[in-house]
Amino acid sequence: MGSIGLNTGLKALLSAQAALETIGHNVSNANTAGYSRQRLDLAASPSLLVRGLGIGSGVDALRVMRTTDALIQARIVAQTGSIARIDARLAGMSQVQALLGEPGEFGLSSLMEAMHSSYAALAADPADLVLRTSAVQSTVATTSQMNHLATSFAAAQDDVVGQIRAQAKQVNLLADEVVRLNQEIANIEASGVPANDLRDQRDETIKRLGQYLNVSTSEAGFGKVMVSVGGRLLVGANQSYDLSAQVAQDGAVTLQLAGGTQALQPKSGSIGGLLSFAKEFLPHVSQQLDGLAKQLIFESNKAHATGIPKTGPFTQLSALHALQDMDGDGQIGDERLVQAGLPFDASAGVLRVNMTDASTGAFTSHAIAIEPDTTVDEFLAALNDIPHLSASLDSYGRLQLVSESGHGFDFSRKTQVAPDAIGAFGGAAASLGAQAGPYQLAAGDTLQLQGPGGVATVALSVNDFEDIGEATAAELAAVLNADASVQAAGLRAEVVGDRLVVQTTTSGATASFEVLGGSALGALGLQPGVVSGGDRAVAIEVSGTWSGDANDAYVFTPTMDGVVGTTQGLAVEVRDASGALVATLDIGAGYTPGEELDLPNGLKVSFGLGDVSASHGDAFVVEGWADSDTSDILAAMGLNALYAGTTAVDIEVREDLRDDPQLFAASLTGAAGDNQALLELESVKELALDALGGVTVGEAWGDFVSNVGFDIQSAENARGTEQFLLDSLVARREEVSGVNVDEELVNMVRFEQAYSAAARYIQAVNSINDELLRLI
Amino acid sequence: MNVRPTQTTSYQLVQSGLNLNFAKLIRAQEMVSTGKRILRPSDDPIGSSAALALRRQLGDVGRYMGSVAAATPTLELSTAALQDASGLLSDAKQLAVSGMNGTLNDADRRAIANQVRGLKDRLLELANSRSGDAYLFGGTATDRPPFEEVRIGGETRVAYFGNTDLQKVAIGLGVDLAVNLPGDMIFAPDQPGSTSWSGLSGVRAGTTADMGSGFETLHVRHDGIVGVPGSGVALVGAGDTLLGDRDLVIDAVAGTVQLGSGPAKPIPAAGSSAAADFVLVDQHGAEVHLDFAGWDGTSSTSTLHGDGSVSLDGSTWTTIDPAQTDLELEDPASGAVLHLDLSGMVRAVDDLATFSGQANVFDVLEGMAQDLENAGGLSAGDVQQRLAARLVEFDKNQDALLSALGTLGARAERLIDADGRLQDMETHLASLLSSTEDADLASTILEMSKAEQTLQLAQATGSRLINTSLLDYLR
Repeated sequence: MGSIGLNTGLKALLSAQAALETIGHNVSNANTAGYSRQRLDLAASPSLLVRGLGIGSGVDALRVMRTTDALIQARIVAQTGSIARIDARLAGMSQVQALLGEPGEFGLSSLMEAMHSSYAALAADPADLVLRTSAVQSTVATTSQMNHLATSFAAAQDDVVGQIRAQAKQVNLLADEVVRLNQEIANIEASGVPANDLRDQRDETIKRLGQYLNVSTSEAGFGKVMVSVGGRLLVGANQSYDLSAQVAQDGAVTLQLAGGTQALQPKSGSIGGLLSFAKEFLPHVSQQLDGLAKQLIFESNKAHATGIPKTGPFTQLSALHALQDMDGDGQIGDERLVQAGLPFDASAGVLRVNMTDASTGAFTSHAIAIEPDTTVDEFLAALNDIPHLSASLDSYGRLQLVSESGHGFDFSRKTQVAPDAIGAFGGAAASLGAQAGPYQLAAGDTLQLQGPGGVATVALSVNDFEDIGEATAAELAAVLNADASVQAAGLRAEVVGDRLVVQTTTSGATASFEVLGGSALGALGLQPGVVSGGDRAVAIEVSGTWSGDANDAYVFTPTMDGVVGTTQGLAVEVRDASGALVATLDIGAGYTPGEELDLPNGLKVSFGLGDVSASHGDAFVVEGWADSDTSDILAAMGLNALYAGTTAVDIEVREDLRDDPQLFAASLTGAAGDNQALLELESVKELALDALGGVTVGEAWGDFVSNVGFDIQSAENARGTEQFLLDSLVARREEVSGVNVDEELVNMVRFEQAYSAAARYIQAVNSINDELLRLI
Repeated sequence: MNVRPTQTTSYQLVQSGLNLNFAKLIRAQEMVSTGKRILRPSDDPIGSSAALALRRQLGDVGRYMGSVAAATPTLELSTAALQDASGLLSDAKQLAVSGMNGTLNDADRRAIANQVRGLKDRLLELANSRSGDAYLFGGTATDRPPFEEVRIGGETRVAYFGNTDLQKVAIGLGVDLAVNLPGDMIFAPDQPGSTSWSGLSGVRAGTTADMGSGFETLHVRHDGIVGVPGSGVALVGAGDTLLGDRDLVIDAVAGTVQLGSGPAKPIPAAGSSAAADFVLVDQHGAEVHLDFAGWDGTSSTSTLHGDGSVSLDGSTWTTIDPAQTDLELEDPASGAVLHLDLSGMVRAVDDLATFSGQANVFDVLEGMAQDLENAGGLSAGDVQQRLAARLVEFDKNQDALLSALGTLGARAERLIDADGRLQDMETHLASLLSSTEDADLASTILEMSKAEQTLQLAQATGSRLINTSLLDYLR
């Protein structure tokens, strides 16, 4: 038995030694990241037939194996990726949150409050230059903060691109590492020895890859693994594929794997997180901020555009935004005004332009109707039709308005103090008003008038009317005024509301004309007869500011012929644009000429002494303007704007206004103490805007801030959950692959004892052999 | 539970536990040191949204309070100015009343007139009161004096250059308060009614309405007398003011002479100094100058007819036609238009038309001063009559001033109410904001000591756990 016994003992000794060495390896790597516990596989040696007995020949140390669970390992890799993604997004979002500075003194919210407070302070004393400057400066502070946020967001976008590039480089290094390990493992394992530690290293490398991208692995034979990202190979059996990041013109980032054609869209990992931050979160917050800025610009400019600055009506104004040549024919004039590429939406509506005579302070009011199909040229022509005003486009397509010296223009909704400039209501000239139009005329209808200068005969032609059966007073007046015989007769036609008025060009008691006849008389509601002027015109004055919700026009007509303040029962009926009677003013006996009478919607009117005539169709119109630019074309073009720019990046207070706060339009009437335009600007704060989802600018900002907060909070919560999951996965892995030092110590004691026992066995075999040898 | 725990597991466990508890401690410390529960929106998105909304509301309230604070001094200054003005008007009225005293002589009345002018000047200063650089009573035309002296139709008048617009400030959502009171409502208010005449000349308002502001003086000129007195008495032909027909009765028996139903006067002795230019006055104060030198001693009754002309501007004259009941006169300088009924004209004396349209207090005071100066040499009774007419207008001015003071008082009341309401609101909102974003110190500190305790426990147990090793027992 001797040699067998000794051999058995030797194998026991060697096995115990190998086991102890494995334990030593385990204990030394107890703190190595990714290390998997190794154990020695032992097996009993096959028994030998000795003396008819099958005697065991000891123990064989088969191989050293690592204990791993590939499934847990894969899940850890995935989980690490999820957390890395959340961390990357969180880092970015927290940076944005810090930039917002909310809630706090220097956040946009506080700055906007400060801006509105400075407006309110100015409203209490609109003439004060210090308050005016502070109102402008606080507006500048608000716009600066918006610029700061917008540029910071853009810088954050650049940062992200840099980070993605750096991380892609790291990914490529790790991929190369996997390729190298694959090779080594294949080499070693070809000789039948498991490459435990290299496999551990490879697992760890793949785990690190998983921090950047969502990787998955598959076996490639010979102990090699392939790594893929979203189904695309990053590491093949023998080579790696380079990951690169491309940045487009607009700042959009795309990832590309060498050899691939489609962009890579990693779902997790820090690169996935950065991409999601750069492609979803940042553009979203930028858009929100831009939307907010755009609405603030547009709504504030709408309120500001119709105001009058401290310097009075304008003599010269330039639009900030250019009209565009949309159809590319090299001309802007043929574009439709409301679709001419302005950054803000204009619509069909009415624009009021007031021309003020600087020497008298009196103004005339001109309404320009903007239809959906009004062209830029038509709009310019309408502006140029206003006396003393000239309009043109500069080479960029920006509207330029200039008035003749001695005249100024504005767009305010101020009340026309003297509404009857032409004297159609008790005026000094002989004046005859027709009934309200449109008139059902027919081609060839005539009108024959005997003026101071002779007889005028006018025949009407279809060509002069859009629809002669529905002829408007303005069309008819144009026809009459263009007629040479009317001019020679010393007559002219005017329009009051929708009525035609025929007047002598001279005035006084001697001025008179006669309606001789003509087939058009019936349609106009006129009778043949003589009309005379008077020595005195009835002075009509209107005061107050229109408080109605919509634009309207009150038409005033007397109920009978009579003398103001004298004739018993003389009254004036006031009808609104729809023809409804809104007031009847008693100006007969008992009325003191010049006494103010109340009208609905905040206006007052007074009548001076003189004769008025119902039978001669006396009438005048008082316009009530609630919004002097219902088309929003002023704000769309940036005329008399408060803000220049269209987004959060370029929003700023109009440059010349910033330099000269006197240009801040606080007044509607031009009076130094008037603050009505300022009050309208202040009320922008209260406007619920459809473009912002039916909330005010302040509320929208509040929502925006709290949404950022929500995003971060939910990411933080998700991170907690994911971390818990990872912790439990790591614990599971530890359970399987971790080194328990105590356990190793116990094993160490065990194999120490096994070693001793084997040595003792060899000693026993040796003493048996000695006994035998002594016999010899 | 782990079936096979390892040292690494225990290290990780201890470490994450320590981290968690330490983070809690730091968060609690952060809350204690800043006093805020919400430092960044992610701390509490809902709370931070509520906090921002509350801050906006607080901003609104602060702004409204700012407007109240800004409006208060303006209203106080206006009230003070108007109270002074009210005192001035009372003084002026007393002066006018004392000027009506028949015992005063011309010099006395001139002295009073000077005082009235002084009051007028002071009133003008008050009407042009300023708050800072802004005029208080000019409507929204705050950059120029609202009342200025101008020359209209040869008279120095005070005209209003302001407007009637109100300067409003917001003192609540949709609640506006006017800060200013346009001066024309205070010093030149609209007063519906018809034109009134002082009535010395017998002119009356015509059938057609008049138009103008303040007052106009109607100049009445005597052009001559038609008719011859009886009993050899002759007309002197100068200084007469008689208009229309009047009987001249010379009663030789009683020794008196009487014009119309005026006082009967004793016939002056022949050769006396009075006889050559004897002034006879009728019941209206119209005068006829008679020369009794040629009186033949008989009684007689004759009819005298005085002719005259009227003018507003003193240069264009219209002959009085008693049949004219609606003569239109226009003063080109002031634009005033008057319609006169001349049928009752009895005396050639300047008459005063006071327009009802505007009761301009400066015009009334100026008129008072002119009446007291009596440049036209009216009798004491005539002066009294004119002053009485002025006082009627003057009362309207006092009423207007008092009503303006009442308006200001009501606004001051509203401001005080609004201020109280806004302060309550501010307190309420501030406490809401505090409960939303401020840390509850008591519970935060409790939280902090809890976190501290847990951390210490974790440290203690953790150190025991990682110190345990079989090695301690293997010798």
